Amino acid sequence: MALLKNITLDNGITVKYHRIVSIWHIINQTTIIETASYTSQEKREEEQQATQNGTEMNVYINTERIPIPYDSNLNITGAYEYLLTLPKYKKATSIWEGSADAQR
Amino acid sequence: MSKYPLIYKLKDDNNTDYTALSNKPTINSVTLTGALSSSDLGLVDDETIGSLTDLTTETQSSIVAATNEINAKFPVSIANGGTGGTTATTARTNLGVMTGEQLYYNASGSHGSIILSSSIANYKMIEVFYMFAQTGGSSFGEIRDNSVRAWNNESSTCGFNITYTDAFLDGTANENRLELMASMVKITATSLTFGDEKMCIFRPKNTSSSAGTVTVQNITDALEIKIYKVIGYKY
Repeated sequence: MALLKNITLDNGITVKYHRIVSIWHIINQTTIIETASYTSQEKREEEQQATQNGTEMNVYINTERIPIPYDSNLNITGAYEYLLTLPKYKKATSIWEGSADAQR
Repeated sequence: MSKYPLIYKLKDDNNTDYTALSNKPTINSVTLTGALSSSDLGLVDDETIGSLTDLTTETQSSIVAATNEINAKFPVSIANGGTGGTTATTARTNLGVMTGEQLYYNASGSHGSIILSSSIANYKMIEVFYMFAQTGGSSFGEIRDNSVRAWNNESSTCGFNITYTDAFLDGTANENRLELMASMVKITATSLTFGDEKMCIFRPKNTSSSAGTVTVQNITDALEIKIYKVIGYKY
């Protein structure tokens, strides 16, 4: 699953494809959602291919770690639903990675 | 009846019946007829073998013994200029030389979770190349070729700290400022993750303050440290 939305960063780079990389649970303290944003889905696929094949790549990735109140039950689906409540990802389109929707 | 007696022609000793033989002898399947050289018959010339007394081995009794003496010296020990091994891995281990394999490379660098192409449990040592990427502010730009080496000795986990110092003149506050960025990096099998990135700022006393200050803060925006290459080393 991933989110599509054009977001221009402070450095001027516009990222469009956003996915959750990891969810960290600091027991009884906080839960952290790590996101990665790419300039396009093609670049995300380039990263996947390079990782799988052990080859080089040139992919800009903007990462962010979002701390939220501790929730040991938070899973990937719940994390994406949480992101959609944030102003940054408001009105973003949800897609499954590799779907045709991401080609538009 | 003829007046001449029948005379039997005597056989010429120089013209034997050999040529008439239908089953002539052979050497190495070559029929012995005509002028044949040792090469024609597949015979080794003595001159190509050489003399046993010319062998430089201690054993000169036979070629087999001399050859066995030589074979007994392999693998050649390090003391005799060899590697002491019969495989590349053994040779490198004996000589203490490791070979490196690239596990990750992204020219843009990343300060998020990174997936390696092979588990660090396959390597003796891990080297992580990082850069300090300015996303705004002063003009230091990207600085590459910094790396941290960590001996993991084929362990599946490895952790270390990456630190970077930056000194510049803060024109607004009119003071020389020293910043120390630090982040813990942890590698578990093929997953490399950053800990929180922290900045320690040293501000000396300036004309308007009575004392310098040192502050420590977590960096959540404009993360500075990015990893662009990971190399694994093994024998």
